Amino acid sequence: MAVERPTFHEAWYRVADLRPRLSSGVQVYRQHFRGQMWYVLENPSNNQYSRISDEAYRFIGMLDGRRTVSQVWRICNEQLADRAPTQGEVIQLLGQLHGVNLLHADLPPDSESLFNRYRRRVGRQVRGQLMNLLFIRIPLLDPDHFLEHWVSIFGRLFNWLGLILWSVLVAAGLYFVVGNIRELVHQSSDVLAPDNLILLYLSFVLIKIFHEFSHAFACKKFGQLNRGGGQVHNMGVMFLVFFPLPYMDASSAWAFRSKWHRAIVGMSGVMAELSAAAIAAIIWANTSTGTPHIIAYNVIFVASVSTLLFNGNPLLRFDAYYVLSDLLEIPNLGQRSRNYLYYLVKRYCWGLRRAQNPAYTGGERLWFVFYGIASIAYRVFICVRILLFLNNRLPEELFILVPLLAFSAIVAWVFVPIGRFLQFLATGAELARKRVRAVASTFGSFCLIIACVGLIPAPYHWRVEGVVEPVDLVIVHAESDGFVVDYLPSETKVSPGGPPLVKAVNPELEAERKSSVAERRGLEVKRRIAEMQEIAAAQILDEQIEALDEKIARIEFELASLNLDPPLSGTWVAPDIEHAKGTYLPRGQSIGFVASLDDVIVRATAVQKVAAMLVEQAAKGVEICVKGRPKLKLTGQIEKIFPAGQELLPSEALGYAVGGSIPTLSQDSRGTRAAEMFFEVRIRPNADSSVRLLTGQRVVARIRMLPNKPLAVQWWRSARQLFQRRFHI
Amino acid sequence: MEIIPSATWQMLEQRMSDKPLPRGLDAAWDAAVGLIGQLLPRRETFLRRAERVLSLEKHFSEMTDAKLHKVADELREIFRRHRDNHSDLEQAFALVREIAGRQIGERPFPVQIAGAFALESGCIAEMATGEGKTLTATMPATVAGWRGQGCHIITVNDYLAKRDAEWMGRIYRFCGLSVAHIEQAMSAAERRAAYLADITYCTNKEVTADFLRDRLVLGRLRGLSSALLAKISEPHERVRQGRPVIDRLVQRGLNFAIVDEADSILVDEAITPLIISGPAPNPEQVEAFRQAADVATYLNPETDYRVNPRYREVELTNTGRARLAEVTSTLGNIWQGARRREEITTKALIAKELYSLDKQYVIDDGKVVIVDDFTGRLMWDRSWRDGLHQAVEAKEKLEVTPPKDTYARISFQRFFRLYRKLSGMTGTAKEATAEFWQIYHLPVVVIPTNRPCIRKNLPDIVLPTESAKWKRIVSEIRRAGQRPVGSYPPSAGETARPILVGTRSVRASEYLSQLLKAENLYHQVLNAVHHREEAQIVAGAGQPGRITVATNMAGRGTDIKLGRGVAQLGGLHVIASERNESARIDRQLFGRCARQGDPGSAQAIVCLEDEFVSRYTRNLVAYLKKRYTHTTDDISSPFTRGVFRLAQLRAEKLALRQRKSVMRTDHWLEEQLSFTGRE
Repeated sequence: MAVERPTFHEAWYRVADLRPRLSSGVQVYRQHFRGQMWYVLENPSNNQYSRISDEAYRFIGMLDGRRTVSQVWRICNEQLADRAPTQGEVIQLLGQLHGVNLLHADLPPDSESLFNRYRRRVGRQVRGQLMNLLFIRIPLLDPDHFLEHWVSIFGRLFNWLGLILWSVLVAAGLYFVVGNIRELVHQSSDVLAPDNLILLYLSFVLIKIFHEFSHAFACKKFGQLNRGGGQVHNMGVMFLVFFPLPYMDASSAWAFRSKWHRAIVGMSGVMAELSAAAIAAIIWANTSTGTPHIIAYNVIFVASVSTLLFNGNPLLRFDAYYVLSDLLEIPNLGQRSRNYLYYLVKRYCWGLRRAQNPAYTGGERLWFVFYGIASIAYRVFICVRILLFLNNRLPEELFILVPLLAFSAIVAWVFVPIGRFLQFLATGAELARKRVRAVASTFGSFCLIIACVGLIPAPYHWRVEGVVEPVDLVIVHAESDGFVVDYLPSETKVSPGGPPLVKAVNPELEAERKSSVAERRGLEVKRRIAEMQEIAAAQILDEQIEALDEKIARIEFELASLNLDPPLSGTWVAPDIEHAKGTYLPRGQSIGFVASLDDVIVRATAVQKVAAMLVEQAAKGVEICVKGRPKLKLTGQIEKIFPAGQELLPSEALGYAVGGSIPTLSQDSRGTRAAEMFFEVRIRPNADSSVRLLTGQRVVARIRMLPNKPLAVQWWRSARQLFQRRFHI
Repeated sequence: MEIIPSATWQMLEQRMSDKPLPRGLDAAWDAAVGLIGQLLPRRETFLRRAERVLSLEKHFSEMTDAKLHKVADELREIFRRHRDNHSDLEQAFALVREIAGRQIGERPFPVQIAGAFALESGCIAEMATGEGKTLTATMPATVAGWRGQGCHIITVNDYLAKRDAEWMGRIYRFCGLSVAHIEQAMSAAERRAAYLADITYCTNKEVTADFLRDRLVLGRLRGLSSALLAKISEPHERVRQGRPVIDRLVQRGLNFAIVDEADSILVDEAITPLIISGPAPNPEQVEAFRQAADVATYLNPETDYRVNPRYREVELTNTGRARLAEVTSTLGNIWQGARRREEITTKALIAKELYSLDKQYVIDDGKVVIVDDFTGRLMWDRSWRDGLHQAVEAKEKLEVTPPKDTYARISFQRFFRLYRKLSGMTGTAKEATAEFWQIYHLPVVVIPTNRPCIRKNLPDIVLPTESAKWKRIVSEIRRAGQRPVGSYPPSAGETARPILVGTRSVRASEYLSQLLKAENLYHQVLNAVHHREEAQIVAGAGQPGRITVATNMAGRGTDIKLGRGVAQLGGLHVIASERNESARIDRQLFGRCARQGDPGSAQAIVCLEDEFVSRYTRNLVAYLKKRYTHTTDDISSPFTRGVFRLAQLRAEKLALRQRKSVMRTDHWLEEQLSFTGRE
């Protein structure tokens, strides 16, 4: 009927005469949440917790095994009036407590339904784990005794002095990190190199052991302070994305009375990681090479990534989440914020006036909205990032994991919720009256999204990587052997007819020329004599002179070419020329080049799959970005697309091995031989742009495809691309 | 050495709680299995086997009674040992058929035998009224009796139980079986003896109540093992309770039930709980109900509360809440808490706004008696739940009965699911095929009538307004019965066709009666208020010139026999003055004419102002009303008729969903309450 909390319940007769009481071992803790009093009941035999409201606790508290449920209910009604639990709520409460074995009833329970429930719970756990393939936990040991033994030593760290020490340590670490930030970033490209992976993993395990023990000791320590609680009975292996890591269960900390104690236990893992990172930073900054240096670097990397992205980030359900939820005094923040978003939809989109609001206070609502949206967004983001990361970095043999993981993530986070949602839409009792509206509005917004994504064409861009090269470039070689005597410095503007690039001398040639000239003179004299004596001999001498002339001419040419003139106007680039003075230049050695740097071209490469589309649909104008400098934007024109057939990349910078986008053959040591034939796209930057492209820069060209395509088509194509790249379909 | 009778053993072994309904994909799968199973040619199989039974007629008809006894004993041995096969069953049916012919002078027709096969194989047999369902049940009942674990034949009232037990008893006794019936007034010992008989005729209420009482007797003893243990520790038990628990049990376990009028018991009344309760005087609360009825009159329907007729709800507005607090500030303790105050006032408002005299209830002997929404029957022993009954009593200024304490309860649907084997017969089942399958796992088999049915089902007449409808009904009564204006008294109309008009409420029947009086048409009214003459009036409704106005289900089960010469006039004509929530109920009304091959015709006359269409197809009806604002003419068209059909479909779907959700809630509760032991 139209009453929200009906006082009576038709099944009341079944509980009315019972005389249940809380099981004897139950521990009760009082906690405040945003000004409301709650009671946490702990079942010490299985570490299960239930949180019940103040009113419910007043009810339960009066059940002593002598009073009947209905007597207690009547007393409650007198004392609490409207706040007293209704009959239905009492039934639910008793059922809930019984479900976690906290209730001792005076009747033999219905064992069949107990077993049913147990089976369902186990089933749910197993399903939950299967759904969560990325985070599997296997409990192995009970470390409580060990911790008990050592807590007297390590527990001392958890006080104000410890906090100050920790701050100093972290500050020191930070100091070194900031001081060496450039090198730190530079070294990061090596951290994922295959030969470092094992070290990386070992440092990860190390850090995690540190992390978990920190939790455990904190838990023990505050357990002692609280005189009770703080047991850690569960330690084992967690498979995070299939990598085994240690874990410990410090959940008994929830029972601590002070929320700051709980918070410290929750954050102690992160704090331990940060201190490890700080120590590692100090070591790293003060060593230059060697294993300690590398390990220290790995530790810094792991600790910062795991802290910033996972454990220290409250948007995922790791340590910081629980701490945040505790400090905000909003238990079950993640679940409830999602419920609250649902509630908003139910209440305002579907007009369900009786939707149950999961927020108890106004402050919670803001948190729910903020947290609900942020956590979902972050979760999707991190999931996609992990998958892309694995997609790029996993070796070929393990690659099959990526689609499996992607599939399970999609099933768990997309299909299952959608399925549940559809089931709710179709059969949810709550919707009985507004089903049409709910279905219509859901279907409507779904259609709207589909229309936006699937039908409305949007500008479609494709990105290709390229390198900048000059249009004209002449490599300057030494044309004859000689010793350098003078040169133009590198980066000088030169033009033909200007001063020579390099002046060299070759005394040998000089001497040879001199001897040849002398010889010729001798021959000329001889010839003049012969002219007078016998004419036949003069003719022979003429021939000899002629040959000698040729030789002289050749020598003179070589001498002339010792001075290398600029072959074209442009910039003379010869980085090593400073060291060349006085050195011997063998003929044919390249010295440098002259290139017209104002006139550059981008040589971009595209794999064959894209190429067909490029050839047919690419608009002429493209946007060009310089890699590493995303703010620099200029425009250009596609000059020509060379069809497939090339295998040698214009620059190794485009190859996979050094972070480019074109897969290269692994056996090619220079890294310029592409794994498959590619297309080359030549793009000429527009002259009017103010920024100058430098030769050798890596750029990304954003090519607009015509006509516009709906987003769905674009996404589908990109996704296909992603897989094709790995599977070579 | 104690000996426990096997009947008691079976009772102790009886499941006390039914299995939950499947959910999600399982439910879809189960429904699909039901749909596919419905395609099996069950009817043809049963008719074929009936032919085989008929072919045995000669064989048995030549036997002497003594020989028949002997054959019966032989068959009984076979069935008792569960060694029976197909041909034994056919033999048995042929034997019962022969015995029925000799003992009560009626030999089952082939369709009845086919129905018997349907019951035997655990189906719902749809057999038109008047086709002899009572006789049909004897065949499977005999076989069940021979099997020795008891058989309950569930009838709708005590009278029928007694009549059938006596009437058919001769057949059973001839077959060597004992037969008994259960009546309301019987003592526990008599009941125990009756349940121990091989075949027990009883009503659904009695059998369910006895089951609950047994459960209360068992108290904390759950299941066979603990009962046996209790038996061992008997000396102590006896001191405390006088007699051992297991000797106080009445029933012998739920083995096989044949439910007559299965649709009304298993569908319409399915979620009605049967409650064993005791008095719990609470003068304060009784007083509160009276005060609430007064308070309700102070509240203004426009500003203080909103009425939602579609879901039969009343909701207080914020101003209403404030006003309520103000009005009740001087009243007693119950009124001080906002929740209790609003709850009890809402009840009173519901009673005031949504429950009206002669529609939902009548007052008889200073008591509120519920009129069944579906059937228009008076429900004497029923009361509304959650204080609504008290609120209605307070509104009518009657003595408010104090709310009662429940000791045990079970809904009929959950009770009948406990039977190891269940089957049923009814005149109208195929509309509820899905429900019979999904809830009871019973397939429906439609058995043809013995003689082809020649009822003319005329298309509905749809009218825009209520007044036009009644006018049309009166003119139809005249036209169909070929009655000249002013033909009174009835003797003048002896050549006229008899007409039966079905109405949905007592009030509608009274209204029509006034109209007919004004037209000088002699007629008889059969509604909840005139219930005492029910059977007599119905039986006479087939006499020439008779006009009978009846609420839908009045006198269900009683045959309307046609008077002399009526068949030549075209038989009984039935007019439905409104469509019902379920097409089944419509068909039951229409099924009152053209029985057993008689001629007859039926037609529904409905209007857009009928409450039920506007409840389920609000928008369509609003549109139609707008379109036909200015007319009072007949607006029948496939479209307007379709709207009524659609409303019916929606209502049926909603009802099924509701019944399923009640069951689910029950099971959920069961689990929540598992610590209290089983119910």
